[in-house]
Amino acid sequence: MNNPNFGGPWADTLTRINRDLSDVWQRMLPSGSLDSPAFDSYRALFEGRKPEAQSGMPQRLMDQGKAFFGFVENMAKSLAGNTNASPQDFTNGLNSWLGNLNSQFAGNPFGAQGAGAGAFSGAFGGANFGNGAAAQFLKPMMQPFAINLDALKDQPTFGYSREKQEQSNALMADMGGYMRAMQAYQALIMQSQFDGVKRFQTSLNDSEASPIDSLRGLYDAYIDSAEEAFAETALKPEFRQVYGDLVNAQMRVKRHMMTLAENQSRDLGMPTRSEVITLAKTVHELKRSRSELVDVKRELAELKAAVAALQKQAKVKDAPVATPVTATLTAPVAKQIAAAPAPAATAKSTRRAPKKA
Amino acid sequence: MRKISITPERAFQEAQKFNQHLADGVQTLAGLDEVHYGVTPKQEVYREDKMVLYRFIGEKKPTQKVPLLIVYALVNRPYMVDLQADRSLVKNLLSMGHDVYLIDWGYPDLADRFLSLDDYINGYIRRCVDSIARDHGLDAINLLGICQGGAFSLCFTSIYPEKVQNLITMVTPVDFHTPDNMLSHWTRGMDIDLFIDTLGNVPADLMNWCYLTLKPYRLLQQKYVGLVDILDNSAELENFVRMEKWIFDSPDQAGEAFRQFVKDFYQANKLINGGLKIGDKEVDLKRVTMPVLNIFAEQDHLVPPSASRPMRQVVGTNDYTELAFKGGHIGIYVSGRAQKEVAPGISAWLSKR
Repeated sequence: MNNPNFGGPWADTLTRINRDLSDVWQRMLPSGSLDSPAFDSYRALFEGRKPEAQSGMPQRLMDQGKAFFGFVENMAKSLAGNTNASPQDFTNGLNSWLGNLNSQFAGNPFGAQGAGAGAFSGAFGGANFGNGAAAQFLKPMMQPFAINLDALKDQPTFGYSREKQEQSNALMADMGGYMRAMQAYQALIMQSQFDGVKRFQTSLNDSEASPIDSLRGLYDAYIDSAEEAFAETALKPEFRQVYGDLVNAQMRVKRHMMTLAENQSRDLGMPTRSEVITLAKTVHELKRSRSELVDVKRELAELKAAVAALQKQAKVKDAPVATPVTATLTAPVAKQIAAAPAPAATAKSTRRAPKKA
Repeated sequence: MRKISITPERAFQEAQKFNQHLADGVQTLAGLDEVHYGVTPKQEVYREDKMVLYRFIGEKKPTQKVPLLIVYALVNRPYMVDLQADRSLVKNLLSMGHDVYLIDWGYPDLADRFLSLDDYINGYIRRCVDSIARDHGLDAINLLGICQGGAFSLCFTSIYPEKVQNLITMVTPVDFHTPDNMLSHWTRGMDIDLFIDTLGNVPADLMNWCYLTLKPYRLLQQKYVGLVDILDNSAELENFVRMEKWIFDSPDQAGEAFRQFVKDFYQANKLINGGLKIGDKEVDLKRVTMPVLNIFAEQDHLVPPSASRPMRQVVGTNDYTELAFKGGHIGIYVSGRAQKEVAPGISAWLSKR
């Protein structure tokens, strides 16, 4: 949504910003040429010199710096030709920025097909159905079936590989469900982004709102609006349903994929996940048994000590001159002893001398 | 109409400054050493499976007779309470004479998939409390539960009230169904059985992504634009990197414990509605009759105050105190304000009991 009358102080500013960026980064770089817009040089710079241990941070920094500078550039472009920019002009600048970054992680944290969506699906264990390994894995299975995926679930299967075909059909049907769930999720995210821009525009028209005197202030105001709009969407019953459907759909697909992978592992004579889980369960049960035994052993030791103390006390009672004795009991054991019909449980203390300071 | 006074010249200067910060950042980042955390010396006093119980060693001997056990959440690592020398809840408590212990849950792997809340609460926590009590010759100790660890501490205290002298909870959810609880809202549409049966343990990356998407624009974008402002300040940058490290240093979640936590706490809201059982033991918060200090953060987006405040209505104690902290879920440990308010607040409250 660039202003057709490009020129004026904002256009000049844009040129100066790009020139300044180039100048600074040209000085920083050991060699190489720079193109405008200068942010492209960031990547080269960081890639050339980043220390291994911190590679993630410069990358993140670079991406977000790029996002912000994209914002600045678009604002400047939208305002070019204007001497008195209106809120509508600033909103146009924002729209232009969002439009340019439509599929980028920086512009839309979730991304239509971007890193956000990838991270979401990837986080479930590599089940990214965009361009990832899972998609490649499934492609040969998907290609022969240019029909409604849902229908596959009910397709009869025959012969020696009947069971495997049935599994593949179920997987593809569930993939169809996953794709629909992802579309519904993305639609809500896009709607919340749209609402964020509208909110931003409203805030610019609000004479009561705090004044903005910097591009960063403008950017922060946009983030506030976007976040508020997202929160409003994310707390709706509809979002709960869509989010739950997405996670559940993804789990169904992943479960099928795991079954296929497990079958292959078994065929290759490799240990399967199911077998590992069975072992994990057995180990867990053994650990619990061991812990219970440790508890019982400790209680037994305390009971033994209590009995010994009582025996000692009984001996002392039989002696001609009585001497007070303090037994060492913890509360539960002391209660057990007290509850028992012991004739002479008079010495009782639940406080012991500390082992450590 | 909102007043907007951005001139082209001002915009240029702003862009120029931003760019210079980025350029400086290259140097600062390159010179940044590996960040460290967990500054206070500590000794291992008990170990079971991957869990380790530590006792912190202060510069002077503890003057408080009843030790304090910190029970941290299973998500993220507990060194948040001892992040760095000038941002350490532990260090502050030690300097006030407290004898501080901490449970480190470790990093569960597939072998721990079947760890349940029964194992964590009736097993690990109980044995840690018993171990400390034995060593000090006491029946009961003080408990400080943080976030999910606070919910665990509430359950533990309800089941074993005789083992807890004073209960302190920090950023602890009790009512999981308040309208502003986004995390709870999202989990309620999930088929958690399908989720855990498929995943086994819950991957840390998934947990992190879920937390980031609670505030996607701030946490995935604005935060890193703001970072540019401190790129020329190595001390501040180091703090930032340390915090990043903590945020993304997350253990996987043991599947069975996660399943029960989501079902009983997030979905069925049993701390409020009742009917919660940990193993074969019933949780009745009316049995929490010892003094309770509930600390929450007013700007907490993970555990909103509205989720924490209802504790007052459900515990059985007559000695209930609230401490509202002006800050967020993380700021309550590491902000400058926290250093002045949180540990002194806990210490002052304990000293009266």
